[in-house]
Amino acid sequence: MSLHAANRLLSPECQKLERELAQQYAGLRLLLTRRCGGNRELAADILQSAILTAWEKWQGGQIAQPELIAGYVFQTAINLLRNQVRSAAQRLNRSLEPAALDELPRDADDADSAVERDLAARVRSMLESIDNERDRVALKRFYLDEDDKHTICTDLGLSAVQFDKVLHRARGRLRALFEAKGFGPRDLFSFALL
Amino acid sequence: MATIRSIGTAPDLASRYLDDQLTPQERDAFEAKLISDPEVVQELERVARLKVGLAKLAESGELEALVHRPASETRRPAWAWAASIALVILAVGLWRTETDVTRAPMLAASLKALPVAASIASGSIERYTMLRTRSVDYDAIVIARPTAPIAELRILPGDTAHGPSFRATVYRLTADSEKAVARAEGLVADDSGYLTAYLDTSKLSPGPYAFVIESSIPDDGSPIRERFLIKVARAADAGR
Repeated sequence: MSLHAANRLLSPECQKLERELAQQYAGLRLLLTRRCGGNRELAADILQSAILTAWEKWQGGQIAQPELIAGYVFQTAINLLRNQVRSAAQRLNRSLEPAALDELPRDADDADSAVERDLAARVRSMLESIDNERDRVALKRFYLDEDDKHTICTDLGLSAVQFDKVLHRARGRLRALFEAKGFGPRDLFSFALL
Repeated sequence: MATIRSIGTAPDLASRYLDDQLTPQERDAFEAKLISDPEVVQELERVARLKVGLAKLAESGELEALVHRPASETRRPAWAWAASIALVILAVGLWRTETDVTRAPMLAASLKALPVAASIASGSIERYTMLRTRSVDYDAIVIARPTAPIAELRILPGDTAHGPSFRATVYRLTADSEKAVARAEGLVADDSGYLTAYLDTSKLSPGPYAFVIESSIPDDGSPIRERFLIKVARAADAGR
């Protein structure tokens, strides 16, 4: 099925699920958009196709509990994205890494921009709360530059355990920042009540 | 299928999954968790938000400065600010009980505003430039000389673009507290970006002090706060 076709097949229940997912999982949706080179339409198509797949599994009784649907959606979406990236790389006859896609021009969207600015503010607060420059460098290299753990540890003189602790502490702070300011995840139950 | 550690003990897995860096075996194991444990989805979402936030900061040009800023430019969390405010209130309370030592200005933005300046020769001023040097214990060692009781302190803040005027406070540091002993308002950066303050060293006991400069960012009102550690030593003790 083409990705565009998926959009037309979404039932009202699927559309409600899509809206809830888009709201509750804004980070994954925006990351998906970035990985699609800022092509929001392509990202939306991937997400809708994934939602349709998950919805069919739910309707077919292959998903036991509604709170597990999001996992299926993102598993499918990320696999579709991977295929998209690889086929794009083949078409361009060169390696098209996710980081390179992040740098492509992106469509402007005020609502998404506002969410991204909010996320940036929270990440800024998290970075400002970390005193050790080495830790901040490790976070940036791992999460943004996508350098591998071994290289980062070698370059910065960190053990694997120290590295994991840096990540663990940062994620804990970020979690507190997200949840303290009303940006925490909720359960995906309401669509199932239709 | 490869076994997979819990997300709590393998904090790199979610990011590597999003970056398509897992081996096929790791990916299969991670996806098995993803579709059976809602917490893994939440973890994935948090990591995605972190990645998007970092990318946005990089695009705005802020990220490098945030990552490589000096340690003392850290903005404190809310509880730390609350603790600081409590300390300041305590310090103000103590300050009001002080005698002439702290009531007479000991710190000023201009030499003329310092009473002791009227009684000394213009050449008897010790000049110090405070640079944040974390490789040593203090950013400056101020020598208190009876013949030169005024120290001219030149400070280079990390960023003067956000504040036209700064406040400087000197805190006496002890093992378990810090006490404000002098304050000056209206410090303005010169053309080279340096702030200058004048300190009457004759009224300071030898020992460690914190020299704190503060300003405000007009956009959001968040203060810029930088802290330097100085040591006051008597001339005879300077080499010890």
